[in-house]
Amino acid sequence: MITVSNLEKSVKSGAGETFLLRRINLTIKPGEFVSIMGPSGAGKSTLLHILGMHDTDWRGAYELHGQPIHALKQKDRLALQKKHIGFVFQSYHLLDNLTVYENLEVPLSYRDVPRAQRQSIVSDVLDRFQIVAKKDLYPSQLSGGQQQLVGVARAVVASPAIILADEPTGNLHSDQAREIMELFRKLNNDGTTIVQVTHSETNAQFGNRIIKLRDGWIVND
Amino acid sequence: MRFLYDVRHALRTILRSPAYAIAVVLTLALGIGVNTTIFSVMDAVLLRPVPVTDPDRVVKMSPGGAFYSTFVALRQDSKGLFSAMSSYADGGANVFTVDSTHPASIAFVEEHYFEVVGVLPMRGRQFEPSDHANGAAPVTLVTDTFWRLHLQADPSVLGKTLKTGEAEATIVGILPRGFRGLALSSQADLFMPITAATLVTPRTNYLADGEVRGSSPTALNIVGKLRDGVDIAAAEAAFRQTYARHVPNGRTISLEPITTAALQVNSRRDARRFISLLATVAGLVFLVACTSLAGLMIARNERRTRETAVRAALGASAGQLIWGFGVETALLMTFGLGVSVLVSTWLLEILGGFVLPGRVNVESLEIALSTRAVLFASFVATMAALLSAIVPAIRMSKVDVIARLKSHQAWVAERTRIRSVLVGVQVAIALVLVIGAGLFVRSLHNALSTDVGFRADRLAFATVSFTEARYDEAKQARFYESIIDRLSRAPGVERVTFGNLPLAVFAASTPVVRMGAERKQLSGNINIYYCGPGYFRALGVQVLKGRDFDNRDTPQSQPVIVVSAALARTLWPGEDAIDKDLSFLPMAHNARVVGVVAHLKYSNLRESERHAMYVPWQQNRIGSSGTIVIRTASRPPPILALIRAEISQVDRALPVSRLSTVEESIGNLVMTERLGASLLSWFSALAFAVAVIGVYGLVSYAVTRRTQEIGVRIALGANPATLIRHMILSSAGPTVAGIFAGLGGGFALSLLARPFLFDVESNDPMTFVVITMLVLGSTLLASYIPARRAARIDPLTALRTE
Repeated sequence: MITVSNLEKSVKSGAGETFLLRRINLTIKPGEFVSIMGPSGAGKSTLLHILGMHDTDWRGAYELHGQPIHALKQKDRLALQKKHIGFVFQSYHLLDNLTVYENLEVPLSYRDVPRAQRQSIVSDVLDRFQIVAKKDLYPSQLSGGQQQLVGVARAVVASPAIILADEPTGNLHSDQAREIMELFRKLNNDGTTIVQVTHSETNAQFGNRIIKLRDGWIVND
Repeated sequence: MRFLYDVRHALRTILRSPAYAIAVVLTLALGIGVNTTIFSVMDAVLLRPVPVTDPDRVVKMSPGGAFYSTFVALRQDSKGLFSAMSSYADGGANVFTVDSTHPASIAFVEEHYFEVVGVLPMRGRQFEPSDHANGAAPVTLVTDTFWRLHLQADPSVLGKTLKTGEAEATIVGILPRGFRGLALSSQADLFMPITAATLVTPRTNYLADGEVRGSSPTALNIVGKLRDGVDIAAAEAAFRQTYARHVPNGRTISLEPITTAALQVNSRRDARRFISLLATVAGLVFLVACTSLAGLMIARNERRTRETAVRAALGASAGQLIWGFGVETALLMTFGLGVSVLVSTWLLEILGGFVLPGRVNVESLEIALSTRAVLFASFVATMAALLSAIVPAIRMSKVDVIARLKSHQAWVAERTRIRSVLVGVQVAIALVLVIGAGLFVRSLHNALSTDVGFRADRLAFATVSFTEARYDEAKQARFYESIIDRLSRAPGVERVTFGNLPLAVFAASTPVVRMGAERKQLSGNINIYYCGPGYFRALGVQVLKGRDFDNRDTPQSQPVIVVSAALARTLWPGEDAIDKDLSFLPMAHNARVVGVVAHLKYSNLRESERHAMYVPWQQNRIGSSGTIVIRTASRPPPILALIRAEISQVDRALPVSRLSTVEESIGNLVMTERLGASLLSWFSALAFAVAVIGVYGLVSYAVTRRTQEIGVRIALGANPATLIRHMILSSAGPTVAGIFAGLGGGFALSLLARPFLFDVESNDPMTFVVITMLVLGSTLLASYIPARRAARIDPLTALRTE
């Protein structure tokens, strides 16, 4: 599903160059639940954003579903991203001026899903995540756990094959974190590939594979 | 459906930030409104001054002034050039409606005039050939303006008669709105056949022959419509030859397109230049509006950075993001466009009170917001949106998602750079406009404080028309005697006299011959003022030698005259002018100089000392009209109604064609200075406020952004004064750059304004220095307030923020 070969990312620092990722080789198969771990500055989030195609400034090869991302134009990358990837953020990043319902509708509107179909999909997701009662509330009216629940719901609303989660429980209490991780496990059991960045050994145990990074290198897989 | 969804979302987003929406709409409305207004004026004066059919083919002979017989001969020999050719003259007479008298401009037109201009009445009928016959009953076409203002827009006026001058003219039609003849400086109220002129104003006969004089009232303007396929240059060459054949020693004539000829030749350049000045100012206001909008948009985008990043992360393409901003901006633009119509209407109403160079009365142009103006406004709005909203949106859509999610420093630095540029532009434009305003305000002040040679305050006057009331000289004398007697006894009146009034009622001129041992005729004509008893005392003119006119000056006594000091010096250099003799038309006898008076401003405030002479009306009883002059104890306005009432008491049938004050007349003479000062003051105040707010915002933003750094500096021992100086200096770059650019721009604007300045050099150092200091001081103050906030930051709180 995801194949990364000799992936490198660096930034200029003074006259030299600082590497954030070095010679990353990685394959993630469909249905895997991968946890990327490592200390701060190891390059975990950088790798995740490259996989999510938010970052385009890197070297190496990256294939998604057999498509060579490294060789695609930005427009085609974006089309693949829309089709296959959902993203969950540590700080939820819900849109403050939209209701829960509208937040869930946003990814569908960017995929030009007709209105009637959008309504049907959003209703279904609200039901699945048991947040129907919250649909008309604004993010500021929800607890952190509830906001992240909506964040996950928003990530899956367009039915992506892969969910990339950047420390999804980093801002949550342990009970709320467990709920979210249970949710990821359920999604994974239903066939969604999940790649999460986490500092928590406990959360990493919800997955079936752990990749450890240090100073930009994979030190353990 | 998708579009409606986006519109609904955009509307909701706008409504959630009402202060932002109101600021954007008002800024847009102002920028668009000012430009639409100035474009409308430009359109009405320069681009489409006269609403004739096929304006490119309608031409006017320049300079004007030909006898009717010459015109007939020219037409006969130019049939190959023109499909129609005609002539007209601008005249005037009092028109008497049910309740009042109105001085009206009348275009006396030859039979084919309306064929040339291609204008048809909107009601009633066109002139018929029989209307142009000599001795035909007078008929008139009234303009829409006259119909609405003086005939109450009553459709039943058709067929009714209108007392016009000394004739009763039948109204046969009402002309369409906007058509008031072919000259912007003399907009006609009525159109009449040229043959009717002798009936309306018996002293005028445009069909009579005689010597051609450039501005003689007997001279006619010639207009023609070029035949299809006839080139204007070729037509001019051929017509010039024909003209030379019929007027062998005449001037070199040319054929001017009617759009050019609509402005007076001698003021065409000034009118264009002044409108260019207005357009420049409007352009600067537009730029200020755009920078202000861009500032608002950037601030708005800043608050929405995370939202945009999230949307991008959720799959929004750059196009979709820009589209979202675009819909929102388009909605705001539409609202702004709507409000700008109100702004334009309001500005046009204000401009209506002014007269442009070239005696173009803005009100008489009846400028309405046309389709062209609305199209122009839409173009301006689109430009404003592109410059202020879409460009920042495009930039934002391209910025790295991760950077924005993490509030990356690079993104912050870019925003700061853009803000700095905007503030620099705002300071520059504000300085340009304030310099312009300063120059015009000084001009206006200089003009209004010019010594006109008499006390212009508390001086009211009323002009009555004797011709229509069929007053002979004896009756005029009785009228003056009676009205002086009545008004002298009225409360609040200090003195009453009559006569021509400098700067208000213009004088005639005549050749003058010095009598005595060495006869000498002065070249050119000298202005002659007809005066009543106590004229100089009433006006407050300084009598340098001799005496004022009084009751000793009768038709039977020695003819006397008072001369200006300049005339006395010219005629009798080094001698006393008193008791010297002069001869002038229409006096049959010599007149003896009994007084010498100081120099007055006669026709405008810019004129230098010139020759003038004053004669007692009792000894020179001529004039179809008379002006009563009243010096009051208080400001004149309350007395005006009393003057009218007293005149009516003396003779109800005597028409009052003008009732005003000298101050108002002087006010009309400084219209250009007043218009420049008013517009530039308003606009510069606005730009100044935008610039000061911009500087405040820039420093305030820097303080907020650098809170942590400031906390560290305080923790390391920085004292408040050092911090304030540091914050002011680190944000001073845009202000300093703006001031340098503004000084350059101000100098360029002052060159454009130079012809309209009064006793002020365009590069007046005082204006430039004072205004620069003012702008610099204000921006420093605007920087100081947020900088002081920096000095009060609590280091512990600031360091905890991160």
